[in-house]
Formats: sequence, structure tokens, C-alpha cells
Amino acid sequence: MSEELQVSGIVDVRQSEIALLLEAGHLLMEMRKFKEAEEVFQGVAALVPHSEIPLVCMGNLAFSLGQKDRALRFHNEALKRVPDSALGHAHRGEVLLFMKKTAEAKEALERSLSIESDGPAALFASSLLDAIAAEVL
Amino acid sequence: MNDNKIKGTSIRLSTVATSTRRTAKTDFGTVMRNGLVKGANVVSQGLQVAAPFIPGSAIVSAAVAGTNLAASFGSGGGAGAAPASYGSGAFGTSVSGLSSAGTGALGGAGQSTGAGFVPGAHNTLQQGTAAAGASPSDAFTNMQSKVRETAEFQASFNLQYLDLQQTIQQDTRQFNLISNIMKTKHDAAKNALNNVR
Repeated sequence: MSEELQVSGIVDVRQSEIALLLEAGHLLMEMRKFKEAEEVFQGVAALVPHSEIPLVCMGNLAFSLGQKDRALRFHNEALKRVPDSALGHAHRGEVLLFMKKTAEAKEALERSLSIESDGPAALFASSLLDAIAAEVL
Repeated sequence: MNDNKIKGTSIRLSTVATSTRRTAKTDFGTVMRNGLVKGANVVSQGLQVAAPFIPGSAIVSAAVAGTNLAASFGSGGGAGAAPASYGSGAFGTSVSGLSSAGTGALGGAGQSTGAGFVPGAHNTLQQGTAAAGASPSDAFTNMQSKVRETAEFQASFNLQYLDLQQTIQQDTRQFNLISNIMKTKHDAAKNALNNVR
């Protein structure tokens, strides 16, 4: 029987529990309980200070509320934690794209593709680049 | 005193043997049908004559030559049944073919626009009916102008249809792109949640 992965943060937490917390945050976001969702994401961000993912989630939350500047700050913060995060660059590119900074957005998305050529984050970046090419966004 | 009664009348029975009708049938349905058939035949002849002068003449000749107008109107339908034949009968089809051949439209457009063309065909038939008593040259000129009008109408219709198709294609492309973005974003988030290290 394989042992469950532990995430070492300020305390050791099982990976499944981190995933559960983040998923709960997303559910709260879907339920339009944005404040509660933010609290959950902040808690996870404090629990695993080395991971960029909770900050990307907070950026997503701000983006879904239309707070693009705030979203960009969260994504930049996430990239400070993990500079080579394909997910962070892809989300940063998305926000920049909606801020009409197309050149910077393309740069961020291409960076994401260069870091991870065929993962889910790369597919996301690729789909955004397709939309830019088709002048949809 | 009531004077409405006719005094001194008695009931009489007249018995005459039934005979076949000798006068021509002049009820509305029959007259209408005959008129339409005549008009349509004039139109058909006009098309056959006009075919060499318009593009796609071979198609026009082929479409017109085999058309039996009297049969397409139906033999006993009367006036009520006649308009229904315009759209679905042989005549409607052949005129649609003529228009699309004349304008060089995209394949299949003539078939798609058949329903929209019915009023034009009806007008042409009415003109043909009116022209039945006119001289052949007048009918021919009239027919030529009608053919030209029809071709122009069909050309403008085809352009509008093409525009509409392009708009729909553009919308579909946009919808697919945005749908793909949303799907990949969801997948990326889902993957990230399960892979926190």
C-alpha cells in the first residue's frame, strides 16, 4: 500500500487535504461566496507558503470579480514564489490579455508554453494564444 | 290580412330526363385552372426561346423541356389547389434552377431558396396569363425582362445568404475558441489542485 503524499508547509499536511481545501474554495467561488472562498485560499496560502497554487487561485477569484489589477498582483506574487510556474504565467497572460496589454500577454503565454509544452497549463496558454491570433479577445 | 300568399297556385312536378351538359364549364375553379395552364405554357415557351440568350442555357433548356405544366397543376384540383403547385411542382423547380444558373450562384442555393421564390413564380405566371392574348414578341420581351428581374432578385438573395453564412461561421468560431479557453482553464485548475507539492 502506497503512502499518501505529505505537503511540508508550516506543518505537514496530506496532499489530499490541501486539494480538498482548494476545491472547497472553488466551490464557494461558484456559489458566489467570494469572501469565504478568499479566506479559504488565504488559509491554504499560509499553510503551504512555498506553493504558488493558492495565490493563483486568489488571482482567479479576483479576476472573476473583475478586479484585474488585484488579480495581476496575486499572479505576480505567485510567480515570485515559483518563477517557472507554467500555470502562473498562463494566468498572468490571461489577465494581461483582458487588460488589453496584448504584447505582454503574448509574452507571458509563450513563456508558459516554453516551460511546459504539453501540460494542462500549456493547453490553456495555447488556447488563449489561438484566441489572440483569431482576434476574438 | 296577409297578402303574401300567391292565390290560385298549385304544385306542379316537371319531369325531364337528365342529359349531358352542352355549355362550357364556366365555374371559377375551371376558368382559373385553364388560365393558369395557358399562362404557364406561354412562360414555358418563352423560357425555351429565351434560353440561348442567358447564361446556363443548357440547364434552362433541360429544365423547361421536360416540364408538363398541365400535369403539375392537377386535373381536377380547381383554383384552390393551383397555388400549392407553384412552390413544389415542376414549374417552381425549373424557374429556381434557371435563376441560380443565370447568376452563377453557389451550388445548392437554388434549392434552399425555392420557398422564398414562390411569390416571384406566381407573378410570372400572372404575367403569362395576361400576356396570353398578346402578340408573341410582346410575350417574349416581357419574359426576358421577367427572367432578368428574377436573376437579379436571386443574385441579391444569394449575396445576403452568403453574408448570413459568413456571420454564422464567425460566431461559431468565436464560440468554439471561448469554449476551448474555458475548458482548458478548468482542466488546468483541476490539475493544479491535485498536484500541490
